[in-house]
Amino acid sequence: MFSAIYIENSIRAHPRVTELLARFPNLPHIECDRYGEVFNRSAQNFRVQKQHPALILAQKHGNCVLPAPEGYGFAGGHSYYFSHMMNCLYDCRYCFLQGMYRSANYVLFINYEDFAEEIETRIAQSPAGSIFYSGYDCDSLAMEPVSHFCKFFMPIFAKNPDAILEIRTKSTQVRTLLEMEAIDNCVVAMSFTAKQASQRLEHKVPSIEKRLDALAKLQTAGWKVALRFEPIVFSGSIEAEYKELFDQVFAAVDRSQIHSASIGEFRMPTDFYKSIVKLYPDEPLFAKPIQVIDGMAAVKEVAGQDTLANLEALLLSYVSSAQYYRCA
Amino acid sequence: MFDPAVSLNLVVALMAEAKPFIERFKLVHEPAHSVFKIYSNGNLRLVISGIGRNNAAAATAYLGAQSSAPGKAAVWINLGIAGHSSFPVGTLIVAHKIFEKASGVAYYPQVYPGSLLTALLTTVDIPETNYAEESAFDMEASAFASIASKFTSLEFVQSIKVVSDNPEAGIDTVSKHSVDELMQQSVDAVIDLVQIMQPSTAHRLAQTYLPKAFDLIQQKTRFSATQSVQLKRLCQRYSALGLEQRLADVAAMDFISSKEIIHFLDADLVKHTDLAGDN
Repeated sequence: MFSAIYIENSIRAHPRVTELLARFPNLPHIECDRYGEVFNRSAQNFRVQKQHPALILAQKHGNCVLPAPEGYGFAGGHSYYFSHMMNCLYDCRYCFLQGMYRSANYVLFINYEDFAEEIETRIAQSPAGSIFYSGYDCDSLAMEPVSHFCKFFMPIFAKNPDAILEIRTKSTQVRTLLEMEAIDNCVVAMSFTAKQASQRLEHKVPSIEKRLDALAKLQTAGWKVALRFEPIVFSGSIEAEYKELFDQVFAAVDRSQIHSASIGEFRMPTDFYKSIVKLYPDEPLFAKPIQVIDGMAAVKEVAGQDTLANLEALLLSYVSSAQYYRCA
Repeated sequence: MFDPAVSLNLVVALMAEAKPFIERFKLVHEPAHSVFKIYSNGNLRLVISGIGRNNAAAATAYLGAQSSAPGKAAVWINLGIAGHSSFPVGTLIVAHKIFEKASGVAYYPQVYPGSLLTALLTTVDIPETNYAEESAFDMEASAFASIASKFTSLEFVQSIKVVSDNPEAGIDTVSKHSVDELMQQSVDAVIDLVQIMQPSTAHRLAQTYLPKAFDLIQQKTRFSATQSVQLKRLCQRYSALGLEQRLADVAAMDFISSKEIIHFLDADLVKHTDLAGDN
C-alpha cells in the first residue's frame, strides 16, 4: 500500500500517529520537520512516484476548511470544502491532482480535531445552512481503514443536522458507514464514467459493479447517495456508452431515493493540463485536440454535436429535474 | 543485466570501494579523463570521487556533464562504506534519508519495496567516531544527492552503504582488504535495486519517447526552439494515437518551411484523430 511512512517530528507522539505506525511496523518510518520537505521538492516525477507512493503524516496549520470553488456541488447554503488528505489511492489518468501536486505521495493530516473546530465555526456562521464537501483533493473513503475519516467526522455532522456533508468517492470502503447509524445530512456521492473510459483511464478504481453494490448497500442502510457522472470523456460512441451506464446504475439503485445526480465534462486549468501532458505524453486522451476556454482546457467535442445536452436529456429520463444539476 | 535504455551512474569515493564493481561489470578505464578516474561499460559509468563532500559534488557534476544520454532514464547511485551506531559490520543499507550534519539539510531518496534494509544516513565532514545518533555515517552522500538530482528525477538518486565500523569495531579496523570484502555484497544490491526500479524507469522512458520520424522531419528544414517543442509534441501525439505509420508517411513528404510542416501536422492530426478511434 505504501513504500514508507514519513512523520513530521512535531506529531510523532500523537495517538493517531502511534496507531498508524503500529499498523505498518515493517515499513521505514522516516522523520521530517515539515511535510513540504518531502512533498513539495522540485525534480520529483509524479508518474514515477505513483508506482511506489509513500504516506506522509502531517499537521495542517490553519485553513482546514475553505470556501468551495464557484459552481462546485449543489445548492443549499454556504459551501465549503475540507481535505484531510492530499492525493488519492487511485490513479485516474484524467485526474487534475496529477497536475496540481509535484508529489504522488499521500499526505494525511492527522489533526482532525482542528478540522472539526473549523467546521463547527463555519456551521455556527451559517445559520441558513451549509454544505461541506470532502473528496476534492483525495478520495475520502478509499483510505478509511487507515484514516478512520468517517469514524471521526460523521459524529460532528450527526450533531449538526443543518450542515450537509458530501463525501465524493469512487471507493467501496463503506464498512464503517454500514456499521454506523445513517444520518440524514450526509450524502455519499459516487463518481462514474462510462465502462470503456473507466476501464482505460481509472486505474485501481473498483469496477462499476462493485461501486454500485456498495451504493445499494448504503441505500438499504438508510444513507443518502448521489451520482456524479463526471468527468464525461468524449468519444465517438459516447451516447450509447452512457445509455448502457445509466441502465446499469438505475437498475442497481433506487432512483426515487437518489439525493442528486450531476454531469460534468472533463476539463481542468491549463497549467495543470500542461503538467499532466509532460507526465503522460503517451496518453491518447491528451493527444486529442483540446480547446481552452477561460483558462480551462478540455478535449474538443466533435463539431456540430452537443453531447453534454444529449446526455443531460438522457439522464433526465431516469431522474427528476429537481434531482439533477450540471457541474460548472 | 541492465536495461540498455537505462544509464547507470555510480559515484564511489575510493578505488577499494569501486574495485568489486569494476571487476564484476568489466568496467574499462577511460583514459581521456584526468580530473577524475572514470570507468565504463556501455551505459554503466563509475567515477571515483575521493573522500568528502566537495570531492563527491565535483565528481558527480563531472560525470553528469559527461553522461548526457537523451532518451534514456538515468539512475544515479552513490556507493561506499559507512559507520553505524548499532548495525553490525557488513550490514548493507539503502539510505531513506540523507542528513547533512553541517547544514542541517535533509534529502529523502525514494524508498522502493524489496528486501533491502533502509536507514538514516548522516553525512559528516570528519569521520564519526562517537556514533552519537542512531544513524549510518558517511562523508559524501548529501553532496552526491544534491548534485545528482540536477541530472535526473529524485526517484532515481539512491545511496547504498555497507557498514564498515561501529562502536564495537572502530574505524581503525577498516582496511583496504576489509573494504573490498564488504563491498562485494553491494554489487548484488545494486543489481537488485536497479531491477526493482525497472518499472519506474520504464515510465520515465515513456515520457521521453519520440518516434523515429521526429528526427527525419527535424532534418528537413530549420526549426526555431519553439517550433521544435511544437514538433516534438505533435510527434508524441501521433504516437499516442497509434498513428506512427501515418507520421512516417508525412516524414517522407516535401515541405517548404518548418511553419508549413507544423500547420500540416496539426491539421492532419485533427483529421486522423477520429480514425484513430476512441483509444
